Amino acid sequence: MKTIFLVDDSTTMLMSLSEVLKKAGFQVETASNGTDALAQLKGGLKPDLMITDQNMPGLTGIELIRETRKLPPFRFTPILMLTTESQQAKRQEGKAAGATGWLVKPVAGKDLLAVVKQVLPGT
Amino acid sequence: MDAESQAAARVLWNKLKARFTQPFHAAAEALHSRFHRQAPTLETAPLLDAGSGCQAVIEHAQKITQSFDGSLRLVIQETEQSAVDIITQVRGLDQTATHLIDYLTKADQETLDLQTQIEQSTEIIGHISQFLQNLPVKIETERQASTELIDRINAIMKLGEMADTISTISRQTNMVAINAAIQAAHAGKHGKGFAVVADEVRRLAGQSGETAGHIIHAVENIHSTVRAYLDDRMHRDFSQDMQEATHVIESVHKLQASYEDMKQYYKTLMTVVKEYNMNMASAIVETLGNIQYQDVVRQRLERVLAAQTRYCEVLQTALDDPARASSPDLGQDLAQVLTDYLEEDSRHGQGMGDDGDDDAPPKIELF
Repeated sequence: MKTIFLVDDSTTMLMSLSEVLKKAGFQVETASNGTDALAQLKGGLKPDLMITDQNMPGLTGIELIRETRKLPPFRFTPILMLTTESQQAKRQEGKAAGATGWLVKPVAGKDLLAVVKQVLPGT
Repeated sequence: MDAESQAAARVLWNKLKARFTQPFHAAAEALHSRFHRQAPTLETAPLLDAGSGCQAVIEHAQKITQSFDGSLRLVIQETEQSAVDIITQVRGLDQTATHLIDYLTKADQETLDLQTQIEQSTEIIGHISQFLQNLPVKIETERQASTELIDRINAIMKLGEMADTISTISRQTNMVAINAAIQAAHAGKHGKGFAVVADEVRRLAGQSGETAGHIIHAVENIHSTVRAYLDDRMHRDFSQDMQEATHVIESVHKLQASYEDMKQYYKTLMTVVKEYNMNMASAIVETLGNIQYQDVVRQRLERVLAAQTRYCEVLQTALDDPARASSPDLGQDLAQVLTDYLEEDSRHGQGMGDDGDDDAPPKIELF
């Protein structure tokens, strides 16, 4: 079973997306901010995919991606940004940091699952 | 406060008020267009005089803004709680759906097992049916065997004929013995011994005839008894067996039809229920996806709150330094609050209202 790591400061986002992903057969781990997320990754969590919000207390999503890419086990792990931010400049910043894709909230459940299956072949 | 300043303050206030009372996506567009129309006035005109009512107006504006802050924070809390409640309820619904799926999967497996059993039973019943269908042939074979038996009985009857012959021979021997006795009497004393033999022969002939008669009678009795028994049994067994065979064959056919109907009904039922369940699962996923709107709204309200906080801070500078109230700087600072807010807001998607915007970047982009 593939593991997806959700990072968002919104309780409702974590709860609702966890349910959607669990229903699709994924194991889900969560963190409510970038700092905690990075600590979990350094602590041994090995997700197959990370989905992170941008605006969070502590590390932002893009900062989290930069720090994550510095960790050898996660150099090529797919990371999706899921945020209300939609500007092209911010997307490019995310891409440069190492994001695999950019999703603007809200994303329909079936669309999210389609993207997840695209970046996680074989699921 | 002059009329122009009052109008400018009213416009600014109305803009912020509109943000709280109109739907978010419509408010953003309206506010944006109003800002561009009014911005030059705000940037150049002094907002307030240093007159006597100035301080009261600023304090009043701050109180209203703070009151709105409280309401907005409450809205965020309540919508978040509602969203959590919805998720919890949907999760319960999903668990029920999952249980139903589990049950159906189990039932499906049991149906498959049942189907296998039915197929096996049907096969066995088919064999029985085949056997019963062949039963008349077997009965006919048995009937033929019985006929052979009767033929053998008839052969026994030949014993009767043989007994008849013995009886005839016995009668003729008796006649010969009588004649011999007469001739012996004519011979006198020389025929005395011969007369004794003739008597003995006649006596034996009588016994033979009598025995032959007993045999004929016994054979006839056996023949009639066996014949009557066989006829009765064959008639009774054959018709009864045929009747039972017909009933059983009919029952087997009915049973097979019932099995097929039941199998088809179960299959249809499972298909329908599974389809409904899949639709429900899909609706659950969409409902959970829609919960994201709460986060989108929360973030928009938090941007409004941040703008209001800055707005109050700017007003506070006018209270702290009355000279600023009559300065163009105050108006410029307030205009900057609005500009910053709108810029910040424009960096974010408009949630429910941005699907139809052709110029907007795609909502999903893979690099």
